Formats: sequence, C-alpha cells, structure tokens
Amino acid sequence: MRHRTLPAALTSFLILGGSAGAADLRFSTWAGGDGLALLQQLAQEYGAKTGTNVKVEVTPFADYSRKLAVQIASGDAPDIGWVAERDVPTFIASNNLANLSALGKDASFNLNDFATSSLALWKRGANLYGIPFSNSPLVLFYNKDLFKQAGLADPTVQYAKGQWNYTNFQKAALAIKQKTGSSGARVMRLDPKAWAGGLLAVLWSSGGGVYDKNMKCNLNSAGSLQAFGLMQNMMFKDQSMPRPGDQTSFDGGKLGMYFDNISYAGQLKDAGFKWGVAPLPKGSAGRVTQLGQAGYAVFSKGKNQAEAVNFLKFLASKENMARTAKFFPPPRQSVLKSSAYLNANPAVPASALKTALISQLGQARVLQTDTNWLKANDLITGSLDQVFQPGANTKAILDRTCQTVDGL
Amino acid sequence: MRTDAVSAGARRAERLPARPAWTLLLYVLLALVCLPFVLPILWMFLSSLKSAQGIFGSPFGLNVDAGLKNFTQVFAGYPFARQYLNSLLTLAISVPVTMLLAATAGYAFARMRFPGRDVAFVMTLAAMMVPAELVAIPQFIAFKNLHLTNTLVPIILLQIFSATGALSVFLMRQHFITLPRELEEAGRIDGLGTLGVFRYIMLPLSRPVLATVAIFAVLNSWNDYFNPLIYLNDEAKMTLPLALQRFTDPLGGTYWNLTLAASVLVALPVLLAFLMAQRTFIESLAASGTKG
Repeated sequence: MRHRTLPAALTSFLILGGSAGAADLRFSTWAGGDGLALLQQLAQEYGAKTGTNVKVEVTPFADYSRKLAVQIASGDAPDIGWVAERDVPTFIASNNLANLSALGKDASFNLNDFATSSLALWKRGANLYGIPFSNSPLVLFYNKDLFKQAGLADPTVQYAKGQWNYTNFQKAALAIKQKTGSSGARVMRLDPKAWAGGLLAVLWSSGGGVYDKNMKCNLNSAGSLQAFGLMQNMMFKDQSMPRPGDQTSFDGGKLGMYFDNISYAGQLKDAGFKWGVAPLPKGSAGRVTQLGQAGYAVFSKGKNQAEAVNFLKFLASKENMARTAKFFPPPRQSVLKSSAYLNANPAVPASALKTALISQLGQARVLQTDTNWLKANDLITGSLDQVFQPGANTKAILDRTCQTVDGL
Repeated sequence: MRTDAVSAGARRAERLPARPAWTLLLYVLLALVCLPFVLPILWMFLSSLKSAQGIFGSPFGLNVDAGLKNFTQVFAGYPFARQYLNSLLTLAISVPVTMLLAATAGYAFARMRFPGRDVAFVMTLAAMMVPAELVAIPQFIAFKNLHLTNTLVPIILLQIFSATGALSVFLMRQHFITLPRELEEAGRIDGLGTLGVFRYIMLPLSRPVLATVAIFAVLNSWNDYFNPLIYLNDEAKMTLPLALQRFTDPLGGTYWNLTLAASVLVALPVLLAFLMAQRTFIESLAASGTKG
C-alpha cells in the first residue's frame, strides 16, 4: 500500500499541485508583488459577484509577448490580459485584440472619463482595442540633498519661475558634478535597449523624435540632432551625465536628476537621501513628456469574449481603477484628480504630483510605433552606442540609421 | 602511446628543479585568468547581502547593510520554497531517466542489430540540431490536447527528450563502441543474457561517461528557462530560472537585492556539487573526450 502512495502523491504534485480548478476566464499579466495580489483579489471579487471563476496567469515581463505569441499560435490564448505599449501595434495589426468600441456607448463605463490622448495608442479609426490601466508620464526625480550641497534652487522652484529648461538642466547637472562629485543627470535607463524611456522626451522637446507624422525615421532631423548634441556635451564636455553602460542609478544617491515614471517612487521607499519630483525641463519645442502606458485587452482568439469584456469593465471601472491607482497612475480623469489618489503616497505630496504629473498630461505623448518596432529598436540601440562616443559624427551615423529603419 | 607520453612528461618534470619564481608567476597568471569568472560570482554573493540602495550606491563596497534580510524576504514574500521544490523534483526525475535512456539507447545503437538502427540514430542526432523554439508550437498543442499544460510533466519530458538527451545518447553510443567485444563474449560464456551483459559488464565500465551525462542533464534541468516560460502560468508551479524573474515591483521593475539573493540560492547547490566532486567530474570529462 505504501508503495502505491508515493507515486500517487508524486503524480498529483506534478499534475495538480497548486491548481485552482477549471477556469471560466483566463487573465494574463506580468504584475508582481502587491500589484499581483491586488489583481488576484479583484479576480476573486469578480468571481464572488458573478459566479465566474477567473484564473490569473503570470509571466515575467521580459518574455511576456513571446509567451502570448506561442499561446495565440497554439490556440490557447488567454481571454483577457495586460498588453504592454510596445506590443500594441503588433497585436492590433495581427487581429489578435477584440474591438471594444461598444464601450463608448456604455453609460455605466463612461469612456469619456478617459482623456482622448490616453486612448490614442489603442485606437484605429473608430475601433478601440484596449483600455489603459496605467497612464504614466515621465517625471524628473531629483536628489534634494545634492541640490542643496551644490547651492542650487530646486527644479520645482525654477519651474515656478518659468526657468526650468534644458539650458538650466545642463547647468544644474554641471554644478552638481563640480560641487559634489556625484553625477548630475541621467536621462536614459540602465538597459541600453530601453533608451526610448527618457531620451524621447528630450528629442520631442527639441522638435525631433524617432518617427515623424508619416512614420518616417526622424532621428536625423535638426531637432533630434540638437537633443543629441545636448546629451553629448553633458557626457563628454561637462562629464555630468553617465555614459551608456555606466550603472550609476538614482536610488544609489549619487545622481542629481533622473527621468522615470512616477511608479519608480516605489523603489525609493528606503532611500537614504531626500528626493522630490518635478516636471521635465522645457526645450526649444516645448515641454513634452513621454507617456508610458499599459492596458487591458480582450484577446480575439479567447474562448469567452463576452465574459472577458465584462471582466475588463469591472477591472477598469472607476471604483477598481481607484484601487489599482495605488500602483499605476490612472487614466480615468475622475480618479486622477481625486484627493484619495493625490494623497495616496506620503512620499510624493499632492502638490508635487499635481505639478509634475497631472499638469504635464496635456503635453504628454505616447510613442507610436510600427509593427517592425522590435527590429527598429535593436538597430537604433546599436546606433546610439556609436552616437554616444567622444567625437562621434552624429549626423552621418543617424543618416545611415534612418535609411535602414525606413527600409525595414 | 598517450600513457607513454604522459610518463615521459612526468619523468622530465621530476628531473627539473623547482623554481619558486616561475611557480609564483604561474599562479599570478592563473589567478588573473580566473578573475573574469570569479569576480561576477563574488559580486553576486556580496550584493545579495546589500539593500538595493547599497548595490547601486556602492557596487563594489563591502558594506553589507541588509545582512540576511534579503534571503528571509525571498522566502517570506514569495513562493520561493515551493519553486525550489519544483526545480528539485524536476531534476530528481529528469536526470536519472535521462541517464537510463542514454545508457540503454546508446548500448542498443552501439551493439545491437535491428532494422532501421542507423536511421533511428540519425533521427536522434537530428534532435540536437533543431532549435527548441522551432518545435515549441506543435509540442505545446500536443501537451494542451493531453491537458498537461501548466504542470511539470511537459517540463520533465522535454528535458529528457531534449538536445541534451540526444547528446547523451550519442556520448554513450560512442563510448560503448570503444569497449572490446571480448568483454561481452566472456560474459555470455559465463551465462549472461543481453540485459545481464549490459547491467553487470558494460554499465560498470561506463561510470565516467555516465557522470558526464549526469552533469549535462543536471545543468539542462536546473537552468531550463524556455519550457517553463511557455508551459507554466502559476507562480507556485514555476521552476527557479523563471522564479528569478518574479522579484519585481507591481509593474515589472526588478528588485535587484532580492533577485541577487535568490540567484545565490539557485547557484549555490550547483557550485557546491561541482566543488565537492570536481575531481570526478574532470576525470569523467577527460575520459569522455569532451574536456577542452
């Protein structure tokens, strides 16, 4: 008898271990930690309310789209899930997302509560393919201690005086470098492939960008070259900006300023220095910040589309978006401007949040990409490695890059 | 011939007087060559004892401000213990089965005559050449139809019947071919059947190669990322390579302090196993001809 017990236990561990039984709906996400716990809680609440059993499936962010592609191709697509900004054009072009335009006529959902700009990424004509749950503009994180040591006025003070522009940004970075020895500013993320997060805001604010209105490469335009010139000066002349590959990060306390989404504040809870948030500097073409988005979408090859749409409405309702807003800046205007949201994070005062985040949404842009973005991104990453070298011939490098990107 | 050469070298070494300066220089050079391999591991151990701020604020500093806090948090806040168990269980099944299949199939390909033997062997070798990504979708559909997705079963089966499995069969076959037929004949004269010859004569002579197969199978199982990524959806069912990617903030940003602490726990058993059995491993690799 004992001999039979072990194989039986092993089989049940291998096959059933941790199983929650059959699911009526499958919800796919890359959320981690408390964010995942909240989504699981919401799934349970939906189940209790409707009798629909929702199973939350988790995949690491780095390989999320790869796994979804295999699931969709194998006829095993989840019903509903998170979709990252980078994957939206591809999933829409391959008809993998269901059209949600009917939500516009649903008074209880109130699609008008979402700013038009927040839905731009998800719309194709009159069709709507997703609802953003996170609408996060880049803000400037600054180290108050380093600003004080360098004898500089805070970026928020300079902003209030209308003086917070890229010229003063460069000067502040240089002063921090010279007077404290710490790096002045970092615009791009540590991961070279994630260059768009940060650099785009500088390009756009100078009148450049990755693509123009006709989706032609715009990296070699006059505005883009001006932005690259500023960064090259800061890296090689002033030496106030870490070069790509340098791992100096803001949370280490040896960096004066850093561009990131407001959710980065979560990583600063144990920071050993005082910090604040401010709007990004203004450039020759305005103060344009980059909007990072992720959204809920219903997969067109899922088995239970109608129920999936209902679950999406539940997740993106005003009440539940107010709960997820704890982690993700909400695209619903009513939630974004509520005092509950503004006062949710004691580390970021409501006034700072209003100035750095809410007041910037009007000028915020989402990166609109083509379906070949992953290839283009790889190409541009390689080119930027050449651009950020001392004495680089930026124009010639970017002319070649644009020729290749347009030829994809 | 090879033994003669080794003996001649050893005799020459005995005749040469020891030169401490040369020995010291040799050690320094070897230590320098080792640095690129050892430093990242040391950095990982050191950083696993630091807070996130400590890691980026002073990447090479010795201030271990977090102590063992990261390690306790890895177990307290995440299903890491369960994920560790999943990896151990997967390993405990896939490694012995890979060894058994490699030994039996290798023996059959080397010594038994049956129709289609060479075609079957070429097909086995072909399995080494097909990238896993290429067959991922048909394999996934097959396991989905068997209702085995989101279980450890496909992970284990695909580890056994992977390129590493095919390589193991190849290694065993090449080894069995080199053993003298007289050994088998002597066994048969003593009354052993095919299975007996394999079990009592050929297998005991194959320990070094079996150890090589075991090393490859352990590494293949312990580090398998692609199949768990495709097949597993629940955090509690994940194996360790996937689990390492789950120490993130709500939107997917990495908690490096926790990831590095977990990485230490993942690397430690393999590192310890190698340190304890390195002599056997190197001997087995040398015997199988795979050592560089």
